[in-house]
Amino acid sequence: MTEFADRPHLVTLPSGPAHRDIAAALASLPRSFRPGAGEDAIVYVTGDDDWPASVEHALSVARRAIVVIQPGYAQPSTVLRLAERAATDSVPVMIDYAFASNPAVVLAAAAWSAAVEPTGILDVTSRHAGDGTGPMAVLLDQLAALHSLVGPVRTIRQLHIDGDAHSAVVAIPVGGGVITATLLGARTELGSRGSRVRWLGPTEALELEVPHAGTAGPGYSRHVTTEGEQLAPTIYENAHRATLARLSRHLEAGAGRCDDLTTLAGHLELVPREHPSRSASQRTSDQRAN
Amino acid sequence: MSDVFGVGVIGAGPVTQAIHLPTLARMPDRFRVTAIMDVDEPVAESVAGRVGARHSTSADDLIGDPGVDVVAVCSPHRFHAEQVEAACYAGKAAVLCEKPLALTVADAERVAQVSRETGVPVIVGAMHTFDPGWLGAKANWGDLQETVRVVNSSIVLPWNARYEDWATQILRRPPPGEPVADDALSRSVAVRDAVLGLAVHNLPHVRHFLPDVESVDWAESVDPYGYLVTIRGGGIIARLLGNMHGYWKPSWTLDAWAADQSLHVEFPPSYVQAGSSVATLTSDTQTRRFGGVEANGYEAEWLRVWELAAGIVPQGEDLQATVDDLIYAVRIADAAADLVRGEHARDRVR
Repeated sequence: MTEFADRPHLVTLPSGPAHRDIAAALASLPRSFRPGAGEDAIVYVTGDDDWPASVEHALSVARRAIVVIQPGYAQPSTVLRLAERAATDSVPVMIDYAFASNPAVVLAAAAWSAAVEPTGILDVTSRHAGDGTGPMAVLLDQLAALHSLVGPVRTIRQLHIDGDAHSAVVAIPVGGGVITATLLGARTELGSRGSRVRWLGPTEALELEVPHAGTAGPGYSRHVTTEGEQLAPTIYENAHRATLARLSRHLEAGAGRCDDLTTLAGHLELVPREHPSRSASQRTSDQRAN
Repeated sequence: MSDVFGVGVIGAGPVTQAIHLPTLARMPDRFRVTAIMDVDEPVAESVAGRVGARHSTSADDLIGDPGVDVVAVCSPHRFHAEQVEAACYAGKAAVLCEKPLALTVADAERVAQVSRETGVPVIVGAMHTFDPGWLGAKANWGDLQETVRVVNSSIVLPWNARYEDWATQILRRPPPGEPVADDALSRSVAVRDAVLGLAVHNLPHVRHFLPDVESVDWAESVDPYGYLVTIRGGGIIARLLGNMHGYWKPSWTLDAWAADQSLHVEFPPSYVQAGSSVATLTSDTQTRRFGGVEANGYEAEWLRVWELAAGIVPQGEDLQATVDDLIYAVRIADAAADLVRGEHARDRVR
């Protein structure tokens, strides 16, 4: 049964490119949310370079919840500290990923977790708009999707980010072994944005395609065997709306703590220390500290 | 010499039976199969009988046959270079060699030199380079080669036996071999073989977009058969993924992504004579589709052989491009094997 708030939660909309999409999602959840401001409002933070500072500021003024859209690189220790503070304050901080938050990922997670075995390979590709957060944010989104579908990523074994494209190879413990996932992403100015993940096993495969968060087009979740291919039901809901719906359930259940930031901190910790994106952010952070 | 050329085929295995004989059967106004050679005489006799050709167990005998104008080299890889050279020295009208032309760069360059010296044109059976869908996209992609940022080559196919059995009526073929042993040498050999056996089909296309490989960043052998390799050069990332499996679905694709344009090519599996690829070029103003036609890359490559044999077109750059493709593939395969050997060793101590 769907639980609704006694009265809709106020939501302070973000600025920038996501404003329109979040506003549209809010409009479709009128019994749970409505735009507004105030101490009790849910605050949106865009995941640009300064997002941890923005979350920190929001924690000092917001008492209901915070949503971070597609966060880019940040110091893992900073993110962990934010997670601890949010837990202490009982303010859920939820992450709104373009890929990992798509309802098709959530719906497919149980089947994927049960099926994927170490033999074979995982293949992830994303084409993104590149506005705001860039390839590191897309990589973190891909890692979050793999976390939901397969399990916690253990290591990033290879990573290259070149302007607005990236490739990575990661290892994920599964079923008593370790499976490799290969990740690829590139910026596009075209409308064909979205992500795909495949598990290519020895006798079966799983495929999941999701469109960009700006559209509520359905994802496609398929199970391929020797007998044929089964398309699982998915829904016409984009990632922004699915995140809001998750937040609504979270709030109505009275749960304060949300693990999104802790999981993100774990992924940030995996980024190789020598990687330019990491050192650039470290320099930025150091400069801020000075 | 008439314009219908007698073809002699060296090696009568699945590639000959499933690919070349059906293709040649579609071109009776250009080719007639006159001789089939295989070291297994019953196989040679059986296959030759299907097409009304004579059979032999000797490559030298076939190459020396005056009824053979064009030699098709479909033998095991290690014999390719020497048999192509022998056909050139025999003064044949043309040679079609199944990929790879040779197993080493030195052998490939020597074959190219022999072809030039003898004037005998040599075509390598890299069918996708002749594919009408690919060629249509290539003629229309504008500045994609300059603007591309990411190339994604993915060849995910059922085991070859599925298609070979269907296409040749050879029944009860043995199941796929044992999994690759988990040691550094076995894994490195496996990744090299898989790159030269499977990735090699798409590597000429990858080379169009990423001609100068500066770095092989990652390589591993994928169970039960396959490879994962990432390469970089000129600010372009390319990911090569290949995997053979036991479920039904084939997926053979090549993507080239620029910010303002993208190319997506879907190739049919080998063996099945399922027409050309479908190549889709997308820009901000339009989506254009190429291929999807009845003629496939095999037919196009044999048409090229006919044009060369008949002297309608000169050999041109065909062979050198093929040699350069091979050099490209061998270098990637060797670097991938080296990486796997090193990475595996590091894994053991982690």
